[in-house]
Amino acid sequence: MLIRIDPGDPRPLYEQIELQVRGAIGDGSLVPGERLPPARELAEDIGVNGHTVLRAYGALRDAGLIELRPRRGAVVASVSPPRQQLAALARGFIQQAREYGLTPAEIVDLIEGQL
Amino acid sequence: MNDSTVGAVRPARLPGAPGGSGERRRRWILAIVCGALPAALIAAMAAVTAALWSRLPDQVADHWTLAGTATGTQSRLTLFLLAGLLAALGLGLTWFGWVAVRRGTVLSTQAAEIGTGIMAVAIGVFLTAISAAAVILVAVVNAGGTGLGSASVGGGGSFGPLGGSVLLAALAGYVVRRYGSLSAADDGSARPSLGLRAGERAVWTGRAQARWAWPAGVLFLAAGAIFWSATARWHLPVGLLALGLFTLGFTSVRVTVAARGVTVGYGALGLRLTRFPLRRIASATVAEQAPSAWGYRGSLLAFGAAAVVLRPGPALRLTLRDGKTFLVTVDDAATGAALLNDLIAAA
Repeated sequence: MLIRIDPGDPRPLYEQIELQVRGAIGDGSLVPGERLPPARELAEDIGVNGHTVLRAYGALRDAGLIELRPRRGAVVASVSPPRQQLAALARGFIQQAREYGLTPAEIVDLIEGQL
Repeated sequence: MNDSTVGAVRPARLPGAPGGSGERRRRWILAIVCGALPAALIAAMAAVTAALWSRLPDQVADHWTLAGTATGTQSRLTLFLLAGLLAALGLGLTWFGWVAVRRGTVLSTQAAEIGTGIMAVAIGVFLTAISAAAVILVAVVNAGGTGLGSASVGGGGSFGPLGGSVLLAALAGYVVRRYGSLSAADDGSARPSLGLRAGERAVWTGRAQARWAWPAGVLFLAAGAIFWSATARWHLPVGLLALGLFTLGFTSVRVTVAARGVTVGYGALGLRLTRFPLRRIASATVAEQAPSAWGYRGSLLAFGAAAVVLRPGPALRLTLRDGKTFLVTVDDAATGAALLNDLIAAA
């Protein structure tokens, strides 16, 4: 899992962290039951305040993506919410469609045709 | 990772590059140490045996006190057959190591092959040298004599072969390390990059798990518990329990790449036994680990190459500033290597 922080990005730091953890869960590079880095350690590595990381983790917990446990820290939730599963499916579908040479507009047409 | 951000390929112009004159010289030196040296030892052994065989008594002296007085004898045939077998084993080990080193240098991803190869060459040369020295000593001392009383050596004479063989083995190991691991260092293959912009900060973690780890560890623990309750002897159950704990403790890794460097945590407890500060690392590349090898192989201290191999597939390979190589199998090693190269460039 790569977490990349850009101070020049207009989005707040906690949101950047949250989005990247979401992405990692969505694309399967973080699997259920896996531990996230301890907040203090992650904060040191990317040079942000510990509270910023905790805020990101809090938002992820509220979304049902991770669990915060007293001793084990932040753990990826065992069952990801339905929307997250759909997003992962869509990502795979889009990747396949691109490999077949479809343009984004053609992919959207294809989905709309099925609705 | 975007393809356009992959780092430029450095031309391979190292002395160890295949086909160069440096490579030919290296191959010659390896051939002399791993091929000609053991062959010469065995030839000397055979020549001395052939020359003196008819003058040896049926029972030859083969043990001496520190002062050099003979204290033990052995059948002539048994002793020379055993020594011959040991020498042949040494020759085989040396050749095995030679092949491993050559394969390691040619493929250059198999850094740990070199460590294994150096060890095999050193042990092989030692075995060949000690058998040759023992045969020559026994033959020369016993020639023309009638047995125990007449076969004495100078004080401490029997330590000469041992010391000489250790020295020869150490020399062979050194030469193979010196000339066998040149191109195991950064061979100029592509150094990936993430294109990290100034001011951007990033951290990457990856993991790898040996697929058989959990079942094997649990099996060892269960077997240990069963033996514990079934027998009065404690050696086997304690050994099995220890093996089970070790298996569970060391068969997964979690690799972290951050501005402080590279950290490898082992097992469920995440024991962080391997750390490389960023300033110690020269570059990072991705290697594809063959399915044949596993375990902790080689030694950074002794051989200049070490590898933690839990499964076949992608591995992160670090080239350290002192030319040493560390390899660890880890998923998505490409991202880790790319980030590491960017962090090194920014430091």
